[in-house]
Amino acid sequence: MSVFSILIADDDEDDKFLLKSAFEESGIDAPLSFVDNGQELMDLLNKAKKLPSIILLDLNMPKKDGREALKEIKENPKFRSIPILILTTSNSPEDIRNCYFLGANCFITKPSTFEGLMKVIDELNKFWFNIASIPTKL
Amino acid sequence: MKKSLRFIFSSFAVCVVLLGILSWTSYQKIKDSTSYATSVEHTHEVMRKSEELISILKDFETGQRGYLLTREKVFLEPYYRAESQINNVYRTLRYEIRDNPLQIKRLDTLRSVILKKLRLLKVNIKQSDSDLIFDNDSFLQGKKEMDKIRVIVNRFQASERQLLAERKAMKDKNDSQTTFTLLMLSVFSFILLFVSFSLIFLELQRRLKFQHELENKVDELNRSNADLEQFAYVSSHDLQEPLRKIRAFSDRMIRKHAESLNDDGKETLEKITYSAERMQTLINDLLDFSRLVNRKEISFQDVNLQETVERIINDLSVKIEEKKAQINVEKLPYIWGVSFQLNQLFLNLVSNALKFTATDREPVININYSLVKGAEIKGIEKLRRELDYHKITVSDNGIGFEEEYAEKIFVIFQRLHGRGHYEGTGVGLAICRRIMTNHNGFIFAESQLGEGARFILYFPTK
Repeated sequence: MSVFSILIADDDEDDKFLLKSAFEESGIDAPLSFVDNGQELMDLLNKAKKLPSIILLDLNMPKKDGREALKEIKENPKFRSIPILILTTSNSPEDIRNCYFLGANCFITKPSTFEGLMKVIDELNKFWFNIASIPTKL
Repeated sequence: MKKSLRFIFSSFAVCVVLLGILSWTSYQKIKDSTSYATSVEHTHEVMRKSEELISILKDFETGQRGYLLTREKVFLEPYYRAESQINNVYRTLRYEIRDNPLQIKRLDTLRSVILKKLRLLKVNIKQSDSDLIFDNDSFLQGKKEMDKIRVIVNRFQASERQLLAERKAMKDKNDSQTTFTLLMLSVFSFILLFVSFSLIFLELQRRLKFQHELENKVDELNRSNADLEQFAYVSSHDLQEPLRKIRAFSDRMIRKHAESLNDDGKETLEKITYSAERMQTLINDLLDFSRLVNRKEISFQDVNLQETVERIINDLSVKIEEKKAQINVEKLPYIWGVSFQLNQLFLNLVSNALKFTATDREPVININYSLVKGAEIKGIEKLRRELDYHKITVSDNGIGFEEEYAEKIFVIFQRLHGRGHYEGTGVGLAICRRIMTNHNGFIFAESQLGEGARFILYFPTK
């Protein structure tokens, strides 16, 4: 069992399904958990006994969107160390600038094909879980 | 509107003319008044002087009588002066009535009668010195002569008075005529002035209203444009989402369920995916095009076209190598324009040239430049003859197209080939034309089928 856990925040059912499927196809065995919006995300983080190793964050969500959640997480000393990977349909330069400004660790535009999605997951796995080191035991 | 302007001008001109006539008429009236006053003066003078003649004579007669009665020399004082006085008065009067021959004749008669009487009186005096007898007859004669003189003088004065009366009558007649004319002219002038003013005022109001309407329309258009841009942006994103899902799920199906799909199944899914992909491209192209139409936030500057083209060639280097294309670029000028739009323009043109190549020869693309005078360019309606234009030609030796489609290719989504033959959505040249319009320039295409194409761009100089 992988020592890493991945938390995915996305309001779209299909996108959640596709991500889950892509992770499965890639053979990554890190446990996945899902939340539907920024509010649920913050609630989960505040209540969790063990924090996720990495968060995949969508930007456009109801109640509290990804941008707000990003800001809150990176301003909170308890959560700011968790690498946040923005995974969104948006490709606007303002969003990219803004997210990095707020402290996102990287910004990825969702690909249109399943193949593309798998490739992204693969690369993410290779980089964040194999090449880079991330904090454990938070 | 032009007609009413002409009317205003002509009515103003008429007003000026009327004022001229008014002034001239007033001047004439004053002159007449002055000359009448002068003739009144003249008549008075004539009356006075003619009376003076009689009074000189009377003085003398009185003196003579006094002398005859008392023999005191003091009574003869008028004796010495009389004749010369009479002559003086005569000369004055003669001058005064110099343009009236009838009066002159009367005056001469009067003078000779008066002088005769004077001489008679003098004779009487001389006689009385020697005789001591008073001659009643001669006194009676004297009275008769005096009466005659009186009659002549009366006639003289009456004539003069009649002259004055005639002059007055004429003056009165002129006066009323002139007054009437002046009044009519003034009234007419005022009316015209008022009418002109009203017309001008109405015209001004109309123009102000038009201006207002125009401003409102412009505001409306601006708002509409902003709304449209927003709409295009939002809808393109909302439209993209289902397409993305179609592609992603179709793609996943091919991957995951390859075994349970036969060739036909796989082909079907591929077609679905391909359609979704094309739709995504279409939406992006539309969004690009709509961004070009909104001119709100773009800024113009001097763009180094040489640099722009070189950068594009660099960006397309892979394709250029793949096609073994040769690109020749003449020295290009600085163009007053929007950098990213000019980039897009040349990118589209060169990409097209690389796309529509002939299979039997190596592609050669030429970009030429010359500066031409607006007056030399024929056949463009909105061209400004007084400006110079940068003329840039992008030509290739590719497959070309039939001349009759030279305008059609600039229409958005118009393609000359079936969808399968060449990639692209048919928006590229529409974008090129839009960019040229944004820069107040023009773009035209020339070609012969099988012999390559020429795209001619005209940019106005500042």
